[in-house]
Amino acid sequence: VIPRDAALVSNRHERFPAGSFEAIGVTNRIVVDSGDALALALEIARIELDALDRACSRFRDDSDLAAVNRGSGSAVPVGPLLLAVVEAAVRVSEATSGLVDPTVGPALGALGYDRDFRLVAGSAPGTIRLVPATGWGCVRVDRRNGTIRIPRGAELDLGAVAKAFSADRIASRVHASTGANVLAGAPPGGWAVAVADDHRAPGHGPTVGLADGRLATSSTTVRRWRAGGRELHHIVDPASGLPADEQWRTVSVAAATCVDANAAATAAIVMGADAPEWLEGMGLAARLVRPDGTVTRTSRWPADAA
Amino acid sequence: MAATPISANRELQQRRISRATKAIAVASATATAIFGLVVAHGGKVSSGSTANGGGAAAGDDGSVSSFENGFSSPSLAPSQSAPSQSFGPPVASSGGS
Repeated sequence: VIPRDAALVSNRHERFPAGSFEAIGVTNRIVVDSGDALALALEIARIELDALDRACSRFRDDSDLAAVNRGSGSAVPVGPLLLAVVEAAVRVSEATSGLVDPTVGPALGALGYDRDFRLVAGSAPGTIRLVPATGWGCVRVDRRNGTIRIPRGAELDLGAVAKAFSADRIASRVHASTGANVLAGAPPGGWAVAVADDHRAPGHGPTVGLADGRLATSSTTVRRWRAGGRELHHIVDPASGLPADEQWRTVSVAAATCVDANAAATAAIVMGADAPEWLEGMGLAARLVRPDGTVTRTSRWPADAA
Repeated sequence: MAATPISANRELQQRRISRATKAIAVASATATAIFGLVVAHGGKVSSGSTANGGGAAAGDDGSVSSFENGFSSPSLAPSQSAPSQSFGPPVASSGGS
């Protein structure tokens, strides 16, 4: 059964079944290399994203994450999904020396991003505050007892990790359940993926071929709002509590996993001018776009097609 | 609103970049150590020693913190092959969300 929103898409060599649906505030597109697998792949994706929302949403009072944020310094029992996502968040914090940090929750709240973004965009609060992140080193994950503890006053926000974590997990689960490859699973000829500022508006950036690994893009051009008389965006520098300086408006990174690709892209925006050298040092393929549209690439990223 | 402490931010950035560079060096040393461990154990790789740190070591109390995460690679792993130029129509897009 092919869902009504499914469509055939193609690259140079093949046509692939694909479907899209809205969840967790974004458009989720599933492309597989086997028509028989699409319906199950979409179902798996919906189930995974629903579980992600229930575990990791900062804006649902009944989520595991909300319970941790209300924990006031005590160890809070949580499900295995939040445990895994927070462990991933701590790992990427360490790998980026805190440029990506899950304890930016209070910083985002103080800037007015304290509810679902659709509600934030139209609210324009008159004042904002700067609240630097508490720091990822204070996060204690107890896998044996299934608890997470953060200090009183700290709050976790998993926006830089949770979606990427689910993308990795959905791809693995669909492949395990159906044998089909899901995007970065690499059918013959690879996947052709357009790179853009906004995932909802492709068309202005290049298209690259992915034979393996995962691709993620972070951008300051999406999730922007006004508060305190200035325009803000959602990529916050944990050290200052301010939206990162916009030396790069969009950074795309290819890495072994979506979690690593997304963390590297977000960290690069926070890091600013030295990001290309940092990405190059890790051997990551990356494309960085300045606010004026000029492009910088690491050595593993191909030149834009003419 | 308080003025943005730009110069302070730059100094902070420099310190963090320096730390990040050191973290990469530590990552290389850790990877070498893990590889040595694998060879010493007859080439068997447990599920807890993946390159992406899927099996972080737990402390005595079972906790895994940023400082106790000995088997996790503190680096971000590149893909095996680099993206290539593509001229065909895309199957999907990667953009900010």
